[in-house]
Amino acid sequence: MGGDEQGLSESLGLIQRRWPQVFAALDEGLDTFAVERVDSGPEATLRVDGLLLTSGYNRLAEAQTQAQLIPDDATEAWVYGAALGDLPRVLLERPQLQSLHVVLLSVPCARASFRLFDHTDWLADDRVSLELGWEASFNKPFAAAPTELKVVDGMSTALRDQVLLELSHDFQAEVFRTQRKQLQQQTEHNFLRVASDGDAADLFGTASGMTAVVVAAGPTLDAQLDWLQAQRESIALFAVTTALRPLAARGIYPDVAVVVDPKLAVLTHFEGLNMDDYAGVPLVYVPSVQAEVLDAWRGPRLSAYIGGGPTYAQMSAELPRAALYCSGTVTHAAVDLAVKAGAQQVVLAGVDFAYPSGRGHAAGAADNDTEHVPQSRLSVPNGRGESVPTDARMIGFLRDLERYIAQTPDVTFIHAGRDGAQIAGTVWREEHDAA
Amino acid sequence: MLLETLEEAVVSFRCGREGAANFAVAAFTDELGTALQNAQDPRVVHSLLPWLREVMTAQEKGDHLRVADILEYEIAPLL
Repeated sequence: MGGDEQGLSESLGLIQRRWPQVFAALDEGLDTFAVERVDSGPEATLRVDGLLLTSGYNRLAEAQTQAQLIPDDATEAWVYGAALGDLPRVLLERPQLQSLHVVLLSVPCARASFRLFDHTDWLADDRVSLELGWEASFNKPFAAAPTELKVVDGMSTALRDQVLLELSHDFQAEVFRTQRKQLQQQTEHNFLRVASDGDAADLFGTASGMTAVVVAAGPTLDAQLDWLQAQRESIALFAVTTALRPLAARGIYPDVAVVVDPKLAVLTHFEGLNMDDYAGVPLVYVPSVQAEVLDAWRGPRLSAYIGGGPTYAQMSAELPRAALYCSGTVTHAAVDLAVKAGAQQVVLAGVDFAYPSGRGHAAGAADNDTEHVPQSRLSVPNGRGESVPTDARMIGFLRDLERYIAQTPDVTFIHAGRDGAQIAGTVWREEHDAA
Repeated sequence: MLLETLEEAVVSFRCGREGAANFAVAAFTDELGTALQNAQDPRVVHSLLPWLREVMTAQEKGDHLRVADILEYEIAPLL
């Protein structure tokens, strides 16, 4: 599927004639990473930013595999990432396909591909429309070029995230399905604890009109501890249990601790802490948290439910408790609790959804993994407009929090820690304080 | 079973289903470890080792289509 010189120039010429706006973007865009042709394998391909763009052994077979994501009888389909054109070619062999939208996710990648490989056959097909990622929308049925999702243009990250979330949906659902039985067992095991403990709804309204700070254990928490210490008396502090150790190291104790993780490893969040220091601090938990974790807490315990699924259906009918929003991370539940406590402003500290400097957690946090480097090669913009490494799971948490914020217009959300991921709908703390 | 798990990893990587792919790679590694412990012919182990090292290197770089290539076209034929 390589091409001769005439084919190479015709690829860009075709784009210029059919999609001048796309050609202009290709012509003007900057090369933000290295792209090289790889001829050492059985088939030629490109290496973009150190990653193979396609198979170097059998590109047709790979494209046929990807094409299986699109039903055979589809009349319209979307391809996110043109790569070397193999997937559009395979799909265009289907006579019933009337319209194929090929969306370019990475301008440097596309430019190199159109320059170094012949794409004229599929670009000339009347059924094809070529679109730029930042102008396109997410649609189904679709298939994607996986490497292009990792080298996406900054302006196309929102579309990339929708593609990633859809691609991971079935796997996440399966993971949740397999965990559900264990969660239900742990929930049933805690029935008497939940029955005798309080209700997290008792905290609703207790921070009315206040500034609440939700503290998670992202790496940027390190730089917020001085500010937290100075503000401590004037704020309501909601901390996830992972953040208790970095906070305690500075003598900071929260007004409320929150835990939703069903794993026994949560006990490590308490290692080295004097649990008597938390005798006056309520722990808000969901009933699937391990009994050993609940029993280790010295302060009052208040339960809540998250999600509307079957895990808590039976217990919530017998023991009604507060319902908190949570789409996979305890940070969601802590934020929703702060909002339901009545906070006028919610400051997010250590809420990074990324791995700034390759770190996953604040110094001293349980699960501290200062050497952690995500393998996904995904990134999002941080508060300085730079790319910061992340992974698909964090991107999902981030986008769900952004949706929550958009649906909570009466509360001002303030983000502290510019090295973490930008969170739409928040203002940076420094800018908010200056205003 | 071993080849089915390998194929699951390969297809998932090629389709961009990273979570499922990584899960399958972990399962494949476990299954392969068990299989190699019971291997009668040590030459199989020796022929696999360089490719397994390359899988690990590519995995660390996030070069998942390279991982898929090695699994499908180098390791699978040896199993």
